[in-house]
Amino acid sequence: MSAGLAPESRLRAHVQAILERASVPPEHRDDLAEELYGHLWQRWQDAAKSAGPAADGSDGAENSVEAAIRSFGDPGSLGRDFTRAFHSRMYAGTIGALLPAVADLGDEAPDAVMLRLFFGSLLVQDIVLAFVALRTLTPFRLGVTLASLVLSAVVVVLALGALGRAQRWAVRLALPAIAVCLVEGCAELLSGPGIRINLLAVVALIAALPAMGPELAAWTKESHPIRTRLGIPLAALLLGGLLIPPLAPFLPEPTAVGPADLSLHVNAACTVDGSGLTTMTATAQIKWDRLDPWPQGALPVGSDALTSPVFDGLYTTVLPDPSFDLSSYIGATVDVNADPGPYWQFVGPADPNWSGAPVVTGPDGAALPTWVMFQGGTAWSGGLGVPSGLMVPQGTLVAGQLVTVQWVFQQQRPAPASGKNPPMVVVSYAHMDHFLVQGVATCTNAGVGVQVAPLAPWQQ
Amino acid sequence: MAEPTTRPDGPQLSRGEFGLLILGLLQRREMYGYEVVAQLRETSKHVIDLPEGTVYPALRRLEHDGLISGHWVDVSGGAPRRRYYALTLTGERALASGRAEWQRFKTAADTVLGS
Repeated sequence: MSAGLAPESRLRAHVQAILERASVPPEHRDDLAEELYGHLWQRWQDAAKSAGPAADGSDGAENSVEAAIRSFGDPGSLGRDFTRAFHSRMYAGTIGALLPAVADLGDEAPDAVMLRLFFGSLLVQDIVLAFVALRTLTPFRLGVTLASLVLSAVVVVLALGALGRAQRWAVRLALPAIAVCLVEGCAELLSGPGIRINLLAVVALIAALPAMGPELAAWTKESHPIRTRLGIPLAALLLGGLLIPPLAPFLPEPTAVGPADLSLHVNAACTVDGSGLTTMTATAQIKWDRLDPWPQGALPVGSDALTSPVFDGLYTTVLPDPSFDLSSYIGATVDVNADPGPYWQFVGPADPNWSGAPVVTGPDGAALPTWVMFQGGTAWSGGLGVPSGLMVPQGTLVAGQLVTVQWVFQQQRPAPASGKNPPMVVVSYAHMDHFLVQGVATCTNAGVGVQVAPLAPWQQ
Repeated sequence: MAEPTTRPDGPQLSRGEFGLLILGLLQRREMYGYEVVAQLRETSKHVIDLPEGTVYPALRRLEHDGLISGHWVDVSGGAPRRRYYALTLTGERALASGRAEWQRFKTAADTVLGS
């Protein structure tokens, strides 16, 4: 406060200093300024009168103004009182404490600009992660992730506001966030080609940290302290937004369907020709009682057969295959010329639209071409390949719809003495990578699907 | 909650107690802020001697709560206009209730202290 100003100007400057430190609704601001000025003015006049005729001199007037200002109270303390007067206790204890009104700070410290850039990068990262979560995560995981990101973004916005007010809590809050970002960014860099957008900002900040401390300490010396019980939740919310999204895919998903929601019935009808070779017609009936809500997120990349990134798998194998000897294929070079070919051959009935595919029909007998659009490759080599594999886009599944899939397999050569077991068909339904239901039928016995261990690599 | 104080070495006034004292003063007559401060000081024989600006957050809070109402009055002689405050009916009831509470507390405290 300059002593060279006229008394009225000094009084008005004191009022201004108080209001700059108070969070006062705009509609009350002018009224309040006038009221406070009136008080100071009267105190100044009374002090001048009580000082007697000498008060008319410059020194006396100066003393009277000083006395009026001194008796009125500290601007910071009064500013906080006014904030509490105009706002609820909760607001005053949270937003009011985190973003206190402060007088003009002048130029921002350069290091504070770096921190603001860092917090800005967190905000951008939150937005990107939210977008990715909306496109990939199932409901519960999505809810947890979005909640963590929104709360984290709120804290970041508060921290940006606090940095604009030179508040120390925002500087301190940046430190654990920088550490977590560094660890996450390095882990991502090591695990693949991706790079976190704020890793560069973090590295630059860490390089500058040794020199930043004194400057930031000086810049925040007028900062208002916040209580630990407010600071710890703030840090937890900020770090939650950094840690929860990468862990979200590993969270439990209570809304996910289970094996009990899928029914799978398998049967096989066999005929034997004059040369003793068997032809097997295998039929699987599949019905979902309910489906995963948002298996590909709330805003999936694609939900139709062509664009869906998430598939179920339907695999069929006919056993026994005496030519199948897995051990000879592990780590060995397959001699194609010596390959005797499959023991069982998938011969039809070919889908009219997709050559070489089983026939898939809905409850009305109409074909479901989308199911066979992603017919898996039939690697027949040595009987190692599965005779049939379908990829079923999640978007084509309908709860309650009975789907029938039919294959015809033909024995290609007589069974050796060691392969006299009755043939059986194994139909496996893999619901994404969540669980596998398998049904087994022989020529005489139908089978019902039950959950089995996850797929072996050669089954996938 | 003890931001209004008396003298630095004296007992602390809570926000509610400070508000009650202001209501007590305004029951006598309408006053503006400067007068409230002067009356508090004079009536309490300088025991209650707060930073003068402290009264304004308290007045605004009481007004916000509907216990007092304020209006502007022009002043002759080039002085700034003054905002006078008066007790509302709600304020009168709050004062009566607060006064009874205070008496009960005072009686209990006196009993404990043996005075």
